[in-house]
Amino acid sequence: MVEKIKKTIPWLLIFVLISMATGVSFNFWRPEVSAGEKEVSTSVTIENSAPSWVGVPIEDPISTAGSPTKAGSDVTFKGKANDPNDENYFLIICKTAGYTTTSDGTYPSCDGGDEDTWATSTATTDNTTSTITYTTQDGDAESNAWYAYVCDVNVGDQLCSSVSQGTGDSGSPFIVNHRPSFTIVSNTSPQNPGDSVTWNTTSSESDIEGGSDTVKLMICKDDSGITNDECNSGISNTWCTSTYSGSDASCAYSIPIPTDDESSPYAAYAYIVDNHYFAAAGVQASSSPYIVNNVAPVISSVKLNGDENINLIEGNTTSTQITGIISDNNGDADIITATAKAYRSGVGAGACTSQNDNQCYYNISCSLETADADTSRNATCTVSIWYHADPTGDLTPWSAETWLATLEGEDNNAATGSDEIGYPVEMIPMSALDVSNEDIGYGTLGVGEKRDVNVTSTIFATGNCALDTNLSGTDMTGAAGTIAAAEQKYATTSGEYDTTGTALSTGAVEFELELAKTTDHASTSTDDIYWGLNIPLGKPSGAYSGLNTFGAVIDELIWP
Amino acid sequence: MNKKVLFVLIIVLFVLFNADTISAGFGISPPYVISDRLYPGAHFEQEIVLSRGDPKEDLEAKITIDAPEIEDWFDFNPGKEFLLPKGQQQVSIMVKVDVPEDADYKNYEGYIYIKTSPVEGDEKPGVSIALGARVDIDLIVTKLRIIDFKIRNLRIPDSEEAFHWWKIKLLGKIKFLMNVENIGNIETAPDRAEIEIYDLAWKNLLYQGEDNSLEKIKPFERKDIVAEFKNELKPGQYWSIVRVFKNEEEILREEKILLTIIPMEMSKGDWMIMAGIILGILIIIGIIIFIIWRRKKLKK
Repeated sequence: MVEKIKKTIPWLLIFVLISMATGVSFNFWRPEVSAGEKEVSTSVTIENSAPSWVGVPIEDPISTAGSPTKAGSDVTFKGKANDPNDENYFLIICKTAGYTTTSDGTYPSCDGGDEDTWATSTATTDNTTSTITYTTQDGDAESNAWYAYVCDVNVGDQLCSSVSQGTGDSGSPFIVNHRPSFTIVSNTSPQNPGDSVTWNTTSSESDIEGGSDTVKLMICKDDSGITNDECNSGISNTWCTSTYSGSDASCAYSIPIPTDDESSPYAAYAYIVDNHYFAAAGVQASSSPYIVNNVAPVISSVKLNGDENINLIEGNTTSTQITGIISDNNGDADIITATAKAYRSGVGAGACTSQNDNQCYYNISCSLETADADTSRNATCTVSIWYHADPTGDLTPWSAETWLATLEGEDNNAATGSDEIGYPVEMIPMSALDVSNEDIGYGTLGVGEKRDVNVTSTIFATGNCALDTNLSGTDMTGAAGTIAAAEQKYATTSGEYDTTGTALSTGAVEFELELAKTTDHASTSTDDIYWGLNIPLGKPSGAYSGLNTFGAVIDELIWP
Repeated sequence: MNKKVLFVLIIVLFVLFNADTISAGFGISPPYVISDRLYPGAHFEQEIVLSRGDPKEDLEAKITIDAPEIEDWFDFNPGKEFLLPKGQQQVSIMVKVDVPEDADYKNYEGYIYIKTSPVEGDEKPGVSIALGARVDIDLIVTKLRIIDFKIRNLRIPDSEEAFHWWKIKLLGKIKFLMNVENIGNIETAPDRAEIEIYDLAWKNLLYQGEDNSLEKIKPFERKDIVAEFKNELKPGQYWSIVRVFKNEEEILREEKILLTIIPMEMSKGDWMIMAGIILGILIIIGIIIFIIWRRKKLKK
């Protein structure tokens, strides 16, 4: 029996199910309308409806080619949904179209799963704005499409809206701006003041949306960084900036004059940004100091004796000056010493290497004007020219020559510059003499007595010429009479009065002395003249005095 | 007997030992007056420096001329007799030569003697020694007309930058000074002066100009003349190349000169002058307006 019952149960169940299905089909449970009062139960089933967009999803702020999102920064999406069932909703931003709902009303997903998803919101109250972000990555593509959905939280029947990509700039795609590449920076120093130092970089941009991005180089004086595309603290802290270019940005700085070489290298730091002010990675802010060369001084406006001819002082030295301007593009403080030399042109600067008082005044020290932070210092070199310095005027062996001078300046790196005077000057010939003793002492003589020609007077050549001499004398006068000048005789050799010498005249008469030019002031060139005297008969006794004149006469050429 | 005694007694006593030497050396430079380019009517001057290395005392100097044909051509400043003062090592005299209009074209030679002697009252017993010197004269009167110069002492004084006020821009001047000696025998001037101005690095030519209106100089005269150029430079230092031309292309002098432009500084006085000028202009305009107004009123 039990067995029969067991076999009957499946068939019973089948029957019941068929009956119920028939009942449903024929609406056996529909409430009947009755004309009289009768309790009737009601029931309804409301279907779940998909949420819809209120407006369109947006990027806020927008992320476009003109205003891209820097890699590493967030893209923010905003969307608002209206769910007919007033259910909360999820906002999901997918990389491709398509989504997958869940049966339990939790987070829906993009078709490709997490790899396909930019961002998913938490459950958001119906009719409020959902905000979600995506943090961009260096590895993201530059242009990134997105597909947005809003899905309700319905359990068992989760529904999503139609896809939306927004519209306009705030719509898909979002644009990721990548950092410029910056791998090498170098500069062209060392350079001279007045030249340009150029910083070159290996830098580039890969972004092309909306036109290729460009790069700009900034060379800042310190490493305090940049703001947008300027060094912090602005232009005062900037050596140079480039214009925007496609790659390998470079800029140049003109080194001003003066610039001190001793203070170099000058600190410099390189920064690259793209045209969206996105700083480069790599060697950003790396140090690239520049070096300023030491440059040699430049000499100008050299003058000997103020461009005036030189008149010497007899038997002595004449102080004169060599002046000039020493310039140094490293600054006037760079100039530390100056020396000069003066020389006869036939000797020349190259051969004037040691002191020779006749023709070469060497290693003359100079005083320098106080440095005043410009580029130049005046130099004044005082030299004492001896009286026997070779003459260059007419009637001299060196009449075709002149006197020149060279000024040399030296800086603190031992670099030198030199220049010669622009206006050669003449060493004016000076015929000059001195007579040593002083006197012509004939002693005491009797009337009719003769003093042989043996009283010596020594002539010194105290100028810069070889000499002859003009001799003349006054008659000697005493208390009671005169002795004619012609009673005196002179000669270059001593001898008896009657046979030696020339009678002195009251008028100047040239005497061919042939006194050589002095070439060494320690040993002045000299020659002797011998004098004799005849006392004619009839002259009263007493003291007689007279005046003999020795006149300097330039000797005829050719001198030794 | 008396005559014999007298004869014996006529022993001339020359106390000449130790007679003082009045000299301490004397010289002249140059020892000549030379010109090969004089012309009838010419005026020529030359300086001669008298020198004593050890001028321990005053001396008198006296000039005499031994040049019979031309003696009256000469004049001397400060004269033919003058003092060489104690302590003064160099005394300049100017030899002036005035060639007569009827002078023959030929060579004239002669001498000028300069003698020194002690000032009066300083004579000493014995045979004293005086010193002097001879100046050789060599003058040629020629028909040739010669143009020649010596250009000395080129310089550019610091110049003020151009004056800017509101929209008014008054250019400053760069003055290039040169000392020119006309060693020719006709009145003339250097043809022109040129300037090129560069930056201190000699990289950029900033200005180039010329002045061809240089002042003429009489024969044998010497004076400073000025060439002027526009100044549009900012304060600072610059290099310049200056050139002075004798003829169109013959460069007499060429030199590089460092020039400095200094900032414009108007003194209180300058401002007052400017204010006075503006006030004056306003007053004149006011007076003119008043006169016009007055006349119109009278016509009515």
